[in-house]
Amino acid sequence: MSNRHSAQRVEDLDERELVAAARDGERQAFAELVRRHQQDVYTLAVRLLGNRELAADVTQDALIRAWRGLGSFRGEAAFSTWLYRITVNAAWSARRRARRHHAADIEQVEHELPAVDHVEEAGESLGLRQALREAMGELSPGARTVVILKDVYGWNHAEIAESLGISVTAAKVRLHRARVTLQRLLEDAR
Amino acid sequence: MTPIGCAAVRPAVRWAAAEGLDLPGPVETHVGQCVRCQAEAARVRRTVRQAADLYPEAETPPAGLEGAVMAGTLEAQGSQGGWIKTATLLAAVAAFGVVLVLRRARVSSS
Repeated sequence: MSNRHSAQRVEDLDERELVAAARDGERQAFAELVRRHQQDVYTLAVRLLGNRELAADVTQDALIRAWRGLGSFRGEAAFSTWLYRITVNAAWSARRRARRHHAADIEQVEHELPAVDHVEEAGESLGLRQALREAMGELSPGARTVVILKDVYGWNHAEIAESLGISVTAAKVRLHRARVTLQRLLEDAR
Repeated sequence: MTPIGCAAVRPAVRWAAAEGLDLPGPVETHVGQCVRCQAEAARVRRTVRQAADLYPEAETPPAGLEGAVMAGTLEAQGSQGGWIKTATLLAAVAAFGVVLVLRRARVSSS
């Protein structure tokens, strides 16, 4: 590690300093960024892909791409946002590769439902949440991706479009269709 | 003015409910008087709200992920170094070629 940060532990550096050091080639700084972000990146990958093994590969791929592409990170967006975009891209690539190699048995991730404190809401909330999770699992990968990015992660349409390499209009259309399908699946399940 | 039907406004009602947008005047008037469209809008809003909380738990990455990533960055550095060496070599060859051409041009002009 360079002398600039040798007096400070990487754990004590803030994100801006870590990114700057990593861009200068300081591997320990990048390792600290990996430690801080790997869970979020992995969680996003699992939610997009529904497969933990594939998600682990995608997480590794995304973080290595981030290392390679640090020179292009200008700091206009938060580092995590930039990393998430790389992850979505990596997930998309992995899914295309998996389809090509006929890795068709992508398992659905089973989550335990979180506890609901308010007793009166418990029944309806749990039932709807379970139904929604099942319906999300039935969406196509493209549809599930846009719903997760918009409604779970709160990305705007421009961010979704950029990550998926499509126009903003196409992202909105895809989202609208996904929600219509989701609504239909929920109604069919009742 | 011809009244607007539910089928005509349904896509706009769904989109506005999901995105938290205001409806255009005539559509808003229809929704204000139509229980079915109001129910549809409420259903969409509820679904979007539920989706936001759908995955409250974070996933735990597998052990060794950090090590695998850092090993991968070493490989990435190695391959980048290879490209730089190749590019440097090509540039040197090109510069040598330019020098040769200039020398020959000087010799032939003298």
